[in-house]
Amino acid sequence: MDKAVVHADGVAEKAFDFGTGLFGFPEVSRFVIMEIPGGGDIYKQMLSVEQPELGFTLLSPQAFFSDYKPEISAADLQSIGAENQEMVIVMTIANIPPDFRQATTNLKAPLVFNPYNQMARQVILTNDDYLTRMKLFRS
Amino acid sequence: MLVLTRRINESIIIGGNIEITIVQVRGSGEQAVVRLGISAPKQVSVFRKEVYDEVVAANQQSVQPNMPHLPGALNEVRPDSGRLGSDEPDPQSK
Repeated sequence: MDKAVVHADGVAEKAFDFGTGLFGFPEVSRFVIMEIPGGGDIYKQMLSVEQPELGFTLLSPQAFFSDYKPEISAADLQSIGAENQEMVIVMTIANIPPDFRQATTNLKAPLVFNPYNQMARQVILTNDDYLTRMKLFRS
Repeated sequence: MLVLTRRINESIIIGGNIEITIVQVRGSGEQAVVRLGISAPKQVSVFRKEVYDEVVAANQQSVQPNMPHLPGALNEVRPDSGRLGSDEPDPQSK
């Protein structure tokens, strides 16, 4: 995780701009990435600047799925001003219910962040092996 | 909703730069399958609607504004706990 992301501690200038690129939430575009107590490098919290009650838990997918290799299309990279995938940070949205053994993450539609210009998008991968509700726990 | 009738190899144009062509029609009635060809600028995203809807639903169900249970839960939901991940069998699950 890039330092520019880690230290985006609620400062508006550090917000990432999703444009209309968070599916289901076209009316909110600016989000800050914040530390979660106990979250370490694996978990972050993403909070809307416009709607403070709107938040998501993000996780670093490779920490759980070492073989996760999302292929971000050239058009999606271009939409956040990135020339190649090495420039961007990929995180996925976690769904952690009170019964955390049911926790899932969305590997089908990761979030891509360009830390150089604070632009971000959610992308939908064409790879059908990746699930929107991939369980973190085997059960 | 605008409804148009098209034959095979006929197209519609949307917004001057998106063209949708009827490529193939197979079967009839409930079993009918239509193959569409789509030409659009590469910055225009094209998804099967069920995939798009699934992503929207997953996002909406993942909204977690205040997460009092999280710090405790995160200590449990860790890749190094040996119970997580997709690619290796759990050595302690026997």
